[in-house]
Amino acid sequence: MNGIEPGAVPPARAVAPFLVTAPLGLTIAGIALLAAEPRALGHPTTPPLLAAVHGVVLGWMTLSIMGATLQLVPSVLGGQPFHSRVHSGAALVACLLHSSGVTLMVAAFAGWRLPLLASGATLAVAGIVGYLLIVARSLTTARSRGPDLTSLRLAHILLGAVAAAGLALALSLRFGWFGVTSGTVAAHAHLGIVGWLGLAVTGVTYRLLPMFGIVRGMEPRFAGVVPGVLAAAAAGAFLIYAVDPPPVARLLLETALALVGVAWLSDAVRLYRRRLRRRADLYSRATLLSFGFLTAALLLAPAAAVLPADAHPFPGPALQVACGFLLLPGWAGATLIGNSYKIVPFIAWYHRYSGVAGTRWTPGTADLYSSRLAHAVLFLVAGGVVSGTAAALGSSLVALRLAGTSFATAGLVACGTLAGTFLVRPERRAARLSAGGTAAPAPRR
Amino acid sequence: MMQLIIDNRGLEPPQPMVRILEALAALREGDEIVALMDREPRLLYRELERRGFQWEFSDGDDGPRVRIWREAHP
Ligand code: HEM
Repeated sequence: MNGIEPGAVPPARAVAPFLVTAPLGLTIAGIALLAAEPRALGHPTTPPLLAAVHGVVLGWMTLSIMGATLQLVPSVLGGQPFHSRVHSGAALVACLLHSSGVTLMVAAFAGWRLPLLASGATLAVAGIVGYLLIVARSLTTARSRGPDLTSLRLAHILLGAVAAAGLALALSLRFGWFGVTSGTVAAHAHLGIVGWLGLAVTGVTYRLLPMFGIVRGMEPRFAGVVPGVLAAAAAGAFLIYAVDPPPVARLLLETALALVGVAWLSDAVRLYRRRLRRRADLYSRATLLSFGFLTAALLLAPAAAVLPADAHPFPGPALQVACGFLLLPGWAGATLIGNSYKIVPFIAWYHRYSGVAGTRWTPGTADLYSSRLAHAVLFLVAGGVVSGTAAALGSSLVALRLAGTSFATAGLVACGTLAGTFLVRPERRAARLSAGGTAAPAPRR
Repeated sequence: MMQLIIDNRGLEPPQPMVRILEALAALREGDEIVALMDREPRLLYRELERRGFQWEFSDGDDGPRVRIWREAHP
């Protein structure tokens, strides 16, 4: 043996709740957009947009990344897993605290109810702190030397920072501790989008794209620098935005951030083009869509940072909202969907069938969910991103409601299909077929 | 002694694991499986241990591979 702990797998009851309930964050974000009033599109910090942003980033994305980290760091990056019932129970409590906190936050933002916002933010941050304490052991003991682990470690430090900054904002709005300005909000938003989501998604893609697409013998050019530069850029953006910088400083900062994005995108596109597994499937479609959305966001971002509110034809704030749609449910969302339908069915398969595999027929991971419904999730989200972007650029409430409907539906379908991977029984169908004289179906690949 | 080579490269999980576990039944004492992999199959080890097999993983010039044999009876 080679000294690797055989039980490098956290229990399903600890990770599944994160991964399966995460898409409901997209549903509540969609509902917030559906309830939006005509003034909602004027600025990124209107109540319905704040509600939708936090439903997406804290509900859907943060919960998904938390579940994937709990699973992947021990099983792929060699970190120590947790086995004990106490740890599993603590993970479940963290998940519950976080999800209920985020639900309250979204409701509070949508109706601009500050006492509720303070309570929701406190619960959500308690969940994040609990999760960070649980995942710390895996992250500190993992052995990979790649950009994936560096990114995940830095991203988790910045998750703590963005949660602290968000809680400070929420409590200040409630108790008037300090003035919440557009600068302080932008500082927090950059820390969250670049420092937490950006680092986690770029770093994990450096590992998962070669793993799911099978890429051999190719070293990405910028993998060694992207994690450090992104973390420094997130911290720099936080400090600079906090002092309400002049337009020229914002332009320089956003251009620099866009250049880091371009460097990462060029790596990701090269990896994608060198993949050996070339079948057109959900993963490849989601990856291509994510590249397209990121390209559009990178082109818009510098202009969004400097154009004034009265610029014609597109005011700066409208471009910022458009960038939000393209980057969050667009780039990060499409990436997440592609990865979720690889990771969750495999976790379900592993916990349900690995013990009997080789001794009797077992289904493949693709038998545990409907590929059509998974594609429906991807295209609903992509459609929502396109109509949300159009809504921002054309001030169209109808398009915004369309985006809301797409997101709300996509979240429900995703939650149902991912939960189904732990529940469906393809072996019953196989048994029926073989009892009827037909051989058990070969697992679909 | 028999050496069974299983080429699992390019296959999507859980196929590599299923193919290895299926091949275990044919393995007698002294035989071994050499499975060519795309990456280290960490999640396989728990099953190997549970079913009484030993393994050695290497990642040399010819790519990741895992060697598996039956645990010797005391
Ligand atoms: C529990 C953690 C968090 C709390 C308590 C929180 C709270 C807040 C608060 C109070 C605001 C300002 C509202 C206003 O305009 O007055 C805000 C804005 C914002 N937050 Fe958070 N936040 C958290 C986590 C995050 C994360 C992880 C991200 C991104 C990944 C994020 C992204 C944003 C964005 C983008 C805005 C600006 C809204 C917009 O432009 O539409 N937040 N947040």
